[in-house]
Amino acid sequence: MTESLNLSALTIIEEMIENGGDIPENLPGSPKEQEKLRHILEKIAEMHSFVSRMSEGDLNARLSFRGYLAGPLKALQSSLRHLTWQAKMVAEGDLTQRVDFMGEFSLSFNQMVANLADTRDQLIRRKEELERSYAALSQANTKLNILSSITRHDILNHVMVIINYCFLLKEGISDPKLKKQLQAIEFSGKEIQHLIEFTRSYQDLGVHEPLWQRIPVIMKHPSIAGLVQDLTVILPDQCYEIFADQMLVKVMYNLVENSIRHGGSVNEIRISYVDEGSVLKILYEDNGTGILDDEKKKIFKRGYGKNTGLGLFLIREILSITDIHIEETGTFGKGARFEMTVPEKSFRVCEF
Amino acid sequence: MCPARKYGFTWDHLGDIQKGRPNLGNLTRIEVYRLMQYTLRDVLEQRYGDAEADAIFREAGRLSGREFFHHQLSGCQEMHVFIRKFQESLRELGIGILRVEEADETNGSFTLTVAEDLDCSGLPELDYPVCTFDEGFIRGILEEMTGNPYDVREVDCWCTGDRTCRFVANVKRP
Repeated sequence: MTESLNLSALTIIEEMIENGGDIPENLPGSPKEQEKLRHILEKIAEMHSFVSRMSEGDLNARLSFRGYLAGPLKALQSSLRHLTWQAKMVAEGDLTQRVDFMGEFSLSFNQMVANLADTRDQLIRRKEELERSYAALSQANTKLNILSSITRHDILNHVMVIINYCFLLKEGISDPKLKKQLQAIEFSGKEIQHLIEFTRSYQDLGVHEPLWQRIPVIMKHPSIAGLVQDLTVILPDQCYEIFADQMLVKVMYNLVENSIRHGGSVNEIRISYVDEGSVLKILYEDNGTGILDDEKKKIFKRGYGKNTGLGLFLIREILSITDIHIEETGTFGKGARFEMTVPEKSFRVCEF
Repeated sequence: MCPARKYGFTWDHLGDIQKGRPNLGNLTRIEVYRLMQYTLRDVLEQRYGDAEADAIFREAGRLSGREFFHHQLSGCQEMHVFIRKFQESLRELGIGILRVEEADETNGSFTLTVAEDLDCSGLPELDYPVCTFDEGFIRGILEEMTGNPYDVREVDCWCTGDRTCRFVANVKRP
């Protein structure tokens, strides 16, 4: 190789290393020298491609040659492939993975995996504690329910005795003052009966785990289907599942019963959804008389109302278990409209 | 009639080192191991040729892998536990730094590398990989672990300038 050829070849190599590009078609020197130079340039191009692919996260590139420059690049690729595999193992839950002999990276990776293992162990212990607590609470709740059921039964027996004796006494006396007093006792006895009966409905509230439920399915429940047989019921077109207490059927039953009992000439009930992204609104509407503006908030208070005064209170309590909020937003004279706002993680789209 | 065997291998051939070497202990230098391996290889190659010498080394490695599995790695039911124990054993015994690039248990496909390998790291560069004993060693271990026949080939080797030895193992299909 002459001096000018030497310089020319070195310039091409330098150009390739610094700026890349295609291998020139016309290389200097004899055919043998050209072939040698082409091999060098091809190796530089191949190394560039190999490293570029690695830098983009592709660890499957192959180098067709070996040696001084290829060796460390392959070793680097091997380490990255190994780390990828280890990260995959960690992602699959194997927190025993450790990296050796990779300097500071080994320390950081091993510390991270050890911390993950600690956190997982803590979470498992916490979960076990919660499960034990849940089991204990569940057992206590069952015992309380049994106790309350027995107590309720005994109270109702005694109340029944009071009411019956009042009735008999009223029949046997003519003193109006005494009769009025007996009527008051009888009325109070019946109130106690209502309240005790209500505790029967309330005792299952929150006892069972909430479930994903569909309103149209609930509306077909025999207890509701019997109520609405003379009404037109319009159900939503979309399909959503609502995460709610298992007493959601009681909610819908009470809403329908309220429409029939207090709505006047209700002959249509419409249920629809408004998906607002972060919340889902369930709209329950009837075409009855509706609720007066100054009563809209009061109707959810315990004891307020024309019957037991407990129906809407119970509805609010059932819904609030899974953070569902209810309010009345209808127009008096046009019908009642109950909006139930379901939070983000308590509703999901489904298929019919 | 087969001649009676003098050295049908058992783990007992390794001896009671604590008892036998109370002063020198359990360590020797890598050069000694390599001296034995490469002189043995020399003689085998002269007598049987290159291909047969390689085959003998692979077969010896395979026997060694099986025995190693039963005495160092047994009791591993899950693949990830086995791999971790395999890595720890090679590191603790100073055999090499085992790293896994791919472990597809379902398809019986593994890519492993051994850095600072006992057999070849630091050897002069040659045009061919030399870790035939390791090929057999890995094969024997994988076969004992999985119960399936394996084919193991070294695709990169220190001796071919690749710094780390890379082995590709695939289950043999009938």
